[in-house]
Amino acid sequence: MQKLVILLRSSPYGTTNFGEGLRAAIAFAGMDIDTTILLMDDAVYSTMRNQNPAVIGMSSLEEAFRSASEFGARIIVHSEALMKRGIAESEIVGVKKVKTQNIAELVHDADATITF
Amino acid sequence: MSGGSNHMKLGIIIQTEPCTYQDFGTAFEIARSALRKGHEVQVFLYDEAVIAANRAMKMTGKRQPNRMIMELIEGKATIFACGACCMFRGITKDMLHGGVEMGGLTDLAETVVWADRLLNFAH
Repeated sequence: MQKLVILLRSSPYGTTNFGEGLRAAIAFAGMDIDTTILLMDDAVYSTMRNQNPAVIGMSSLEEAFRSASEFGARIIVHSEALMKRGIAESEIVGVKKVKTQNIAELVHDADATITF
Repeated sequence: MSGGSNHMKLGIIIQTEPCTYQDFGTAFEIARSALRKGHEVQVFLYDEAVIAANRAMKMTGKRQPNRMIMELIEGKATIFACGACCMFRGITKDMLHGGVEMGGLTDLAETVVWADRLLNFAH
C-alpha cells in the first residue's frame, strides 16, 4: 500500500465523520503513509476562513489542517463543489483546488480510498 | 488453503452501523468468500460498526452480525474493533467476541499498509 486518499464528504460539523476522517488522516501521514486529504461535497465548507468552532465546543479545523500538512499530508478541495456552494477563492484558506477530472485521476492512482 | 501466486491480503474497513445498513452483511459475504479461497482477511470495525463486536448483540432473522463475526474468526480472519469508538459507545473489552481485538489508529494504518486490496464501507 503506497498511496492513500482520505475522502471527506460530510459537513465539518454536525456529525463526527469529518473530524474522525481528519484524525485518521493525521495518524496515517504521521506513520509515513503517502496521504492525500480530498475535500468534496459539504466537506468543502471546512476550508472557509474565520470559523469559530469553539462556540459549539469543536476544535479548530485550521489547526488540524496544519497538523496534517506538517505530517506531510496534501490537502485538496474540489473546485466545482466550492462553486456550487457559492464559496469564492477569497473566502477559503490556502488549499489546492482541483477539478473533477483531476480527482478521478487521483482516486484512480491511489492504492486505497477511505471515505468519511 | 490454496495459497499460491493469487494469494491476496484483503483489508476491510467498515464504518456504518450493522443493524441499519447492509454494509456489514456485504462485507461479511466478501470476507467469507475470500477466506474460503485461501486469502487472508483483516477487518477493522470503525465508528458505528463497532457495535457488531459486542457478543451480546442479537438480531433476529437472517442477518445476524454476531454469527457472522464468529464465522470470520473461525475462518482465521483478524478482526479489530476501534478502541475509542467502543469506549464512546459503552462497549468494554469483556463485552467483545473472543478473538476480536481492540485496536487503535495505529492498527487501522497497519491494516491499510498490510492489505493488497482495501475495501471501505462508509456513509
